[in-house]
Amino acid sequence: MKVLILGSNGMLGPWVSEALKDHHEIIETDLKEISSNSNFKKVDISNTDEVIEAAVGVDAIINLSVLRTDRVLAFNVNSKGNLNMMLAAEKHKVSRIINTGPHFQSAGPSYENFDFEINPDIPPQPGVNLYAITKALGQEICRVFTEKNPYMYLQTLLFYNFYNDSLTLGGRRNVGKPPQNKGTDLTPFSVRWEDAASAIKKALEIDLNKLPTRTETYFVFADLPHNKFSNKKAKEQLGWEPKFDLKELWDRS
Amino acid sequence: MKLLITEGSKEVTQILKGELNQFDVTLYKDVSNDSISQFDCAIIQALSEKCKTPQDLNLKLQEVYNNLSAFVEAGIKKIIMISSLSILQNYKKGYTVTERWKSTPSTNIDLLTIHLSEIIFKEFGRTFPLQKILLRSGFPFIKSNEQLESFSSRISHKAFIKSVEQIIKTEFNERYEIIHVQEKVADQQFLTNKYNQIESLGGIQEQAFYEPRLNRRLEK
Repeated sequence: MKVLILGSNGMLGPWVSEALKDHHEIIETDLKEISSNSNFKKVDISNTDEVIEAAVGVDAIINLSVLRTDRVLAFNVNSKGNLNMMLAAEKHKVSRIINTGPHFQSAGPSYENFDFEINPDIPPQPGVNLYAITKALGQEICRVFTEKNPYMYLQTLLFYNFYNDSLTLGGRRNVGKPPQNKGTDLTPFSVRWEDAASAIKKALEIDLNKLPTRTETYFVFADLPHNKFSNKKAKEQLGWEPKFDLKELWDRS
Repeated sequence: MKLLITEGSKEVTQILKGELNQFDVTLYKDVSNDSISQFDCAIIQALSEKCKTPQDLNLKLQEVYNNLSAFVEAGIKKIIMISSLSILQNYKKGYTVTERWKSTPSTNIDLLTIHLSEIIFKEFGRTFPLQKILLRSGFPFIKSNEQLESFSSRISHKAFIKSVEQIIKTEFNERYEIIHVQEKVADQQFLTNKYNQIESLGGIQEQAFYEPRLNRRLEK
């Protein structure tokens, strides 16, 4: 499959590229090139023309772009960026769209502070946190475009805390740094980078006809005993299994 | 009563500015650099003068988010968003659509912007304990009842202003209300029963929330 990756040089991007590059023809795009890029194209996701041009001839688009704190840039990237992606998908009749974001763009404070066994099919309640609401608006744009275009399939994978192989929170720059103290618990929405990337690969490779609807959302995190959220849907529908349980962080035995 | 109005659709802005005569109205293009805490009520628009491109949509959403943030930070107690029944127009003509019905946005940038502006408003409504009223008005606006009879969801300037005045004056029982208004027409698709009984929505906000009778328990 020819796959356009938007925001490929963020924290998750390199893990996704690594998981896909031997199986698919990937086009990595971002504002700046990094050394691990194999087929890089400079694309600013907030630039409509650049995104439309980058999507020529692709079979799928994966959006990993994110901007968390700056008010203008958050809207540019998280909301308008998604609109640009969907305009590009519409223009080039791209059927497979994979969007990503934080779990609280859907399960915001009004859920998270009160409930358990929260699943990804709840009506979104992002609250007013800039990161959450701008991503939620972007997600709604994707949903509206997918509903209108019967050839489109939108899969949204939601993540939060990522751990590396030394059980340190954060990206590659933290590899080798001291791990988080063991047996101290972790946020109930945590995953290893490799598992997050493998979920995206599963979403990319699933037979679209096997999806129950054209708009599906998945919570992606390790098998954690908190029961705050549920990753059951990602496992059942995508056939995804997390390889890492992060047990050392939440189990003293 | 001091009323703050932000710009949006030129037509709506002109109607509000020109005809809300019984209030002390101030029109703002951008509220971010001024002190606005003296206002009793703010009116914001989901409608825009021009919303054709992705960047228009982007700027409008930022404007709505920034204005709502400023209202909350300034402690304004009541916020009204003017929106449009046009985001419910994709239901079949025979359906009777009320405030309970989900909006039917399209990929048309203008309508999508209204829909997303409403989402931002709703999330502010969910988060902050102020009175928030989403007023979806009929469309198009007409100067008198005789004009544009073919538009079944039309609203006159007079009816629109009357509804805004009524909403400003009402102390709502609930913190978040959606209200639809349009002209009375035969076979009306968008029902306005809720607006017609607006008095029943009034009350003291605190009455809507459970409060434990601590004193009684202590007396025992």
